[in-house]
Amino acid sequence: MFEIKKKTEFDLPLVLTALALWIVGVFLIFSATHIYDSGPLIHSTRNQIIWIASGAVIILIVTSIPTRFYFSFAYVMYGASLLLLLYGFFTGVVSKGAERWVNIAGLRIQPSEFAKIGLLLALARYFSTKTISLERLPSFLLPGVMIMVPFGLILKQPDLGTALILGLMAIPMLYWAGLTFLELFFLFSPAVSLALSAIPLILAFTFNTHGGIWEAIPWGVFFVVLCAVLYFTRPRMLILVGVVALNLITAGITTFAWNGVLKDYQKKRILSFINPQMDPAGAGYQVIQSKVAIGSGNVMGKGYLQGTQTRLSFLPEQHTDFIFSVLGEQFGLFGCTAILLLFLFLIIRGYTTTQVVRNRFTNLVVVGSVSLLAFHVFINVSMTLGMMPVVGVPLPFLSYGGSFTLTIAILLGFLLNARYSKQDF
Amino acid sequence: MPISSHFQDDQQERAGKSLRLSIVVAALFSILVARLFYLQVVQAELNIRLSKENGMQLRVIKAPRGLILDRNGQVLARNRPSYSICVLPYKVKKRSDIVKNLIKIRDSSGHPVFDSTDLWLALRDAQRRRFDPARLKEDVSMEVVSIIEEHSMELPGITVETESRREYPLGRKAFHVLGYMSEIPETQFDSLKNQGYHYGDLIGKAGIERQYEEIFRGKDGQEYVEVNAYGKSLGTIKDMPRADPVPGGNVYLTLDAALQTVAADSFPEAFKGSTVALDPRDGGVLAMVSSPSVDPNIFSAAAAQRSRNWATVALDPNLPLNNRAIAGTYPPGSTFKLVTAAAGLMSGKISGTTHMPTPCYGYYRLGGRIAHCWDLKGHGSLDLIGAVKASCDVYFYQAGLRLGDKIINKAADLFCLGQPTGIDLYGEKSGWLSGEEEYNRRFASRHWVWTPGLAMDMAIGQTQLVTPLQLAMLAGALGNGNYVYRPFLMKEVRNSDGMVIAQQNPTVLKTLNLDSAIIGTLHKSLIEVMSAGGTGGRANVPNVPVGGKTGSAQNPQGEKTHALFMGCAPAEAPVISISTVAENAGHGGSIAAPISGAVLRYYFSHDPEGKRIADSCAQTALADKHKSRSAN
Repeated sequence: MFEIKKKTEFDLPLVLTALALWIVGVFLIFSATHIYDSGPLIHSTRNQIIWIASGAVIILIVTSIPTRFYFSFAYVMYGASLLLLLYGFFTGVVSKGAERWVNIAGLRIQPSEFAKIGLLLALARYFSTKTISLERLPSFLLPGVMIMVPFGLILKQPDLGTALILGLMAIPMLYWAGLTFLELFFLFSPAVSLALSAIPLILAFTFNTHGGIWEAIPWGVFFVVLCAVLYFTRPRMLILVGVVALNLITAGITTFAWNGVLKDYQKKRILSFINPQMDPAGAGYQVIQSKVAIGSGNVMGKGYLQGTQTRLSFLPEQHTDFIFSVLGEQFGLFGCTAILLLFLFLIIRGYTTTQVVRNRFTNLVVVGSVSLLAFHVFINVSMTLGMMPVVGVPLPFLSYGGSFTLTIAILLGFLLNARYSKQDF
Repeated sequence: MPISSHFQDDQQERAGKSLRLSIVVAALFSILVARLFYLQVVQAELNIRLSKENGMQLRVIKAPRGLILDRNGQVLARNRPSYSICVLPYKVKKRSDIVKNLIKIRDSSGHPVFDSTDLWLALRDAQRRRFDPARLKEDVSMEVVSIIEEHSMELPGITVETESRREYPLGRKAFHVLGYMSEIPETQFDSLKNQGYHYGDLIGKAGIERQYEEIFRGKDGQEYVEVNAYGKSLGTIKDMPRADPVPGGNVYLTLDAALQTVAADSFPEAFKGSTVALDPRDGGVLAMVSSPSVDPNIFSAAAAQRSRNWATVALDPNLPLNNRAIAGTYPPGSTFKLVTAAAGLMSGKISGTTHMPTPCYGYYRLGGRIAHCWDLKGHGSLDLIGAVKASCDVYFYQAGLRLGDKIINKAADLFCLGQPTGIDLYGEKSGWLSGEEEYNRRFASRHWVWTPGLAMDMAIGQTQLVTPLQLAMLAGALGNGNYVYRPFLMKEVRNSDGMVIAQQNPTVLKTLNLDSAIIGTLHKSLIEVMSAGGTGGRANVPNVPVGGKTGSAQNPQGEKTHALFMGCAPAEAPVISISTVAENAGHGGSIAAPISGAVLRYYFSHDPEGKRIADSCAQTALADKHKSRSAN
């Protein structure tokens, strides 16, 4: 009755896609940094190649370790990642105003990267023996705590981007664990209420306008939709009342707190937390330059190494979080779509892995890993396209960076491991 | 086989869930593609243009600053090219080679131009902005420039930058009139930004440089150059609009460079004070000297030296930056006796032959107060002209009491004392006329109250304050007898082609309308002072009748009196009026008169107009002599 795979399989299409993305990344990093003939960036391309090579080794190691090892040590790794976060919380090296690095044995590592892996394994382990449903509210207790602890610690760093990624990653896993789309909608409706009631207030504050009653309209529309959904789906009374109450309270508290309690300096602090790039000297400079770079790429792009935005180095951090703008400028809509399709293939291929694996733990790890990659891509690209505040989320495979390249390697290792390793536990 | 208790997923459920997850991701990605389409296709044109403009920078082409010239076209302030040795850090391969080669360069006197420690520091600092040229040495000689250019192969990354520096050929001799230039202070930058100033621009800080800043500036030009984000220029963009700079206007002053030089040279450096020479026929300033002075060229020197010099000058307790000609206020002392005399004559209360009731025994008693004459031996009984000549205090004490503060001030006001003259220089003081109201207001905090007896002090110029410029105007007005003109420095402005684009016409401040008898008495008094037995003899000019008055004003600042002299020549139709004030230097006759005299004598022996007038005066005198001889 248990599926025991007859032969182990190495997922070659997945590996080739990943390799292709990594190679494109190396070329883009070279393009973004080759104008420097000295300084800290001259070794970027070389470093990235070294990290990719180490990533390959990591992939092989992660792939070849039996899956049950991850199952057994899931909580241990989660605990270790929390300890690392706490350690970073007290001793962290401040990099660009946020405590994101810790030094351990001479290595500078980002605890938040480990937190992603730790939470992923812990949630998979937990849901491998349990289901979750709105009908049974206590089933939310432990997973909720498991998510909130690293989420809170990372938010405190402050690293809104990673915290957001962490929260988003949990959603598909909750879905896999048993929540329906509808239940997810109810569950996260207070978060939507918070956002929709806060955004008009924040915008009014930023641009010093007073929308008055108009500020309530986006949330009002959402609330009507929510009520309609509740009316037609007729969930249990407790859930119905709970959802409506939570949404009303969230929106009410947000509006009250913003207008009545928070001082202007506190509002500004919140503002700069949500959008660190928004400084009075040059509001959203990076985003504007990124949009111009991508937009000026037109359909076919300006050609490799021909990007003027890149050549004239108008974009700071272009080789890390804004690498997509290098792609957009030099390869245009054509290149961007091609890369997004490669990502999409990788993601769908990843989700499809679940077709050949019955083990619930493995499937949850796969879903979490793939979703993590997918949200990274979506948030990073949205950021460079000016659809989201710049929250410091790198683009998998293409962005320059050691820690993140290794995280990607581990996630990729999990995907390969699912097909390769024996699922006999 | 260990079997755990956890679930195995159902095949159908897995298929459904992974499909739905894939669809969600695909949907999210299609939002991204839609946005890409919007930016890269719909908005492509805009973004392409923006990306081009990004690499474009508006570069300012500095307009050459206008010159300052004297009335005869002699240059008083000009621009000289200055060469700086700079380094473009990103082109330097090996710093030690650069340093090794640079320290070999020696100037004409054989001294090394560069210091290796300084070079290392400068090169290290320069690394921070790798595409910006950083200065290694400011303002080097042409020789050094040619050495560097000859050896450019051995000095990769070393460039020569040209800039313009202000130069003042007269140096310290005309500092206060011309003023100086300095970088815009950060505090003022915000308000000047809108007027087109740029960070690091120089701006006129005093004198004419400040007064006519707008004219001198001209209009900076603009051109588009391609630059990278570090500001490294990649060349001019040809097909972009370009605005050529409009050079600033050249300002011609009423000043006479030669006379200014003589005035400055005649004023002993040890004294603080001022000499001002005017043309009383229109108010044009011929010379204006304030001592101590500063060489304005030090403000154009290299940065390090500039700040050192600035500190020395700004902290000097003698306040060399102050233009004492317009901002120094001094008690006029005996020079004011002519105002008192004019007041008496105009009011009819005193005439040229009036004797005062009490002859001078060296002192005058009013109630309990005994006021001394400067000459304790006494002058006996004098008429007005005699009293002016002897500068008898006792005579004027009584004149003051007879006239009262109001009548005296009415005359002082007519000669434009106690009010700003309106000269085209910044920082002018108005001086102060005493009098009941003014006195009570000024000293209210000290609870001093005006008493009529104080009119005695007013009459001899011991409570009022005047500027040297006002004193020169007074001398001119007494000689002229008709008009008081607003003093001015800027005669005309010409553009770079020599066309006159602005002109300043004489402005009458006050019309005196004095009776010819009064004018005659005043002239006679002024001339008597200069004759044998008078105090002003040392300001005399051969052949030219000079009118004048000395003063030795007591003051709270020092033991010695301020030495004052004011004069005009020829006395009855003056073409030049002059004043000299030397702070705490002694007596007007021995200290101030010789300084004014040197200027007057130079004017009537060297200036073409002065010479012509001196000649005609000599002929008249000769003719008079003949007449008197033939009459005999």
